[in-house]
Amino acid sequence: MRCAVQSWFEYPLEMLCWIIFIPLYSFGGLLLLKVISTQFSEIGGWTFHGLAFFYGLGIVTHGLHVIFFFAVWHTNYMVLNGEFDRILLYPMNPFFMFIIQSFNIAGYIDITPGIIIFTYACLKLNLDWNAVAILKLIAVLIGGTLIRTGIFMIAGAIGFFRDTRNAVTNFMVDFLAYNTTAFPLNIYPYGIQVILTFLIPVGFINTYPAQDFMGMDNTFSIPINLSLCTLLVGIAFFLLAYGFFRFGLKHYKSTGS
Amino acid sequence: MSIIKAVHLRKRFIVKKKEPGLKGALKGIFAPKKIIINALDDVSFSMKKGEIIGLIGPNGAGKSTTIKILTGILQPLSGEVEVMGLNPQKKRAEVVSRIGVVFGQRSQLYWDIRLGESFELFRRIYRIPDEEYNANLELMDSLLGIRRLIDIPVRQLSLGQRMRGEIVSAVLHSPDILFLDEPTIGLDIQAKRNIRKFIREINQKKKTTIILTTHDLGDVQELCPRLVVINKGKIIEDGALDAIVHRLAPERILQIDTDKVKKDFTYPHCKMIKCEENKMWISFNRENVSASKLIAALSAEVRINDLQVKEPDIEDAIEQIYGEG
Ligand SMILES: Nc1ncnc2c1ncn2[C@@H]1O[C@H](COP(=O)(O)OP(=O)(O)O)[C@@H](O)[C@H]1O
Ligand SMILES: [Mg+2]
Repeated sequence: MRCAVQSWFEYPLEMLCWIIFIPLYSFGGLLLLKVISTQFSEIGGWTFHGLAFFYGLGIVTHGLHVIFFFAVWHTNYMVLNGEFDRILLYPMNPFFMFIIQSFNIAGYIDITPGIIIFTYACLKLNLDWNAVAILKLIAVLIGGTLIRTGIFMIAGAIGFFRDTRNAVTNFMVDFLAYNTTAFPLNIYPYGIQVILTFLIPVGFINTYPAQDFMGMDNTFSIPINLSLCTLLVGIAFFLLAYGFFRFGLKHYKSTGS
Repeated sequence: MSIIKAVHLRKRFIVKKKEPGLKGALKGIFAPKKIIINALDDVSFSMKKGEIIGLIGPNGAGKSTTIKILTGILQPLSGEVEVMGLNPQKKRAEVVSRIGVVFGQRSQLYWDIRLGESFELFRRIYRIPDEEYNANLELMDSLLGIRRLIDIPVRQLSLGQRMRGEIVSAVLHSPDILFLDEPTIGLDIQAKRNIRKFIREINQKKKTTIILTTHDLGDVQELCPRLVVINKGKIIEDGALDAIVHRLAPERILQIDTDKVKKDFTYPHCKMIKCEENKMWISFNRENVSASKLIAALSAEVRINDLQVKEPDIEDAIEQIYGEG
């Protein structure tokens, strides 16, 4: 909400750092993909433009996640500081209140490079944007955002059970979420692909949707349409994470004063 | 019919004990030493609609924990809770829509926005009808002068002003029950008076049921006919304020400023507890001695420049009788 936005503008220097650093990081990743794909001509059957589509999609869903669900990055902090007291006193769904309190407009910094890269890839790939393709894209964006959010939610909600620090949790989770969506899953060994598909379903954030749009095969020959699958997996994973969050909230200890 | 019912409530906190030094830190990671705190150890009490009770006890006694369980923030380890006939853990949203809560030690307001904007937010969250909202704001303005503060960002309010804001934000939706956890902490006497007046009025005008915790015996003496005393998670007294104060802390202290003290002053049932250059402290039992008679007797012997009758510290008394908290 407004409160969260305002406090962002109170730290202009920090904002400036993000404005410079985040796009640099995003375009840097693309450059790396470019270098790799020209050196080895093709990795795992991906063309450079296919990779750009894949990579852009990953960043856009990350941006959407940061804009709408930034609160989940702060779960442990809020637990340690007893901030859920206030939320639990409102006659509303506590997760909803938790989320809208840190609605984060500053996420545009994250999403903009993603939109540029994604648009560039779409133009180069000459994709046919018929109604079905647009619906698929929407499904994929929602699904991917929900998967990303679910991962952070689960990691954060561990804070209800044991004292954890935001900085550490977020570093690890962000590292995982970034690196597993910076390169397509099919370059990893089979075992890792299994984990990143069925346990932590990051493969559905961008690898499988991009393969669907490119008309490529996937490792597990999943029978359902991959874009639709992303939406379903996203919803299921998010509900699972939500259940865990609610379960954690039942163990919320508040703070002694 | 009780509006609040707590039966055999228990609550336990497990905390890791931190040991000093590097070795302690390592041990903390691999084999943390856990201690169990029995914050509530079989707490039962009930309240009737429209009642005001003072929930008192030393620091760490379990007052806030009791309130957090009654308001649905915490889950009890065991026992039963009913607030307006509902279980606040199972029907949390329904219960909290009909109660108001103020924690003096922590803010419910948003620091970055104006007080009035916080109120607007609550109006939407609680879906308060316009008429009710305006009437409540009007009443609060007459009791706490809240209109003057409405355009100020919360971070710029003084503690007393902020507490007024906290209280108003807790009653905008006309709650049936008001939980006030140390609402007068750190306030000066004038601010305390305002808040006491507010509590009395809202209880009389709107029949609001009120639970008040405080360290100030003055608060409860002015407001609460009934006292519930808690210590180490156990309820040790529950009854009429006068009876409890008389039993736990019957001694009051008369402090006299004088030009020349009289060390050997005596009076039946009184005790000289301290004597300085030009000050005397005499303790007396309120049951057998009236303050005015004692003062009259004293003024016959010394010249009294100033005097003060001090109420006993009930928390000290609790600790003396029931052991340290
Ligand atoms: N969230 C918590 N974690 C660990 N210990 C707590 C927590 N909340 C309260 N306690 C402990 O429980 C006991 C009762 O606390 P509390 O109810 O806050 O006391 P009071 O409000 O009467 O001062 C204290 O020993 C306190 O340290
Ligand atoms: Mg307390």
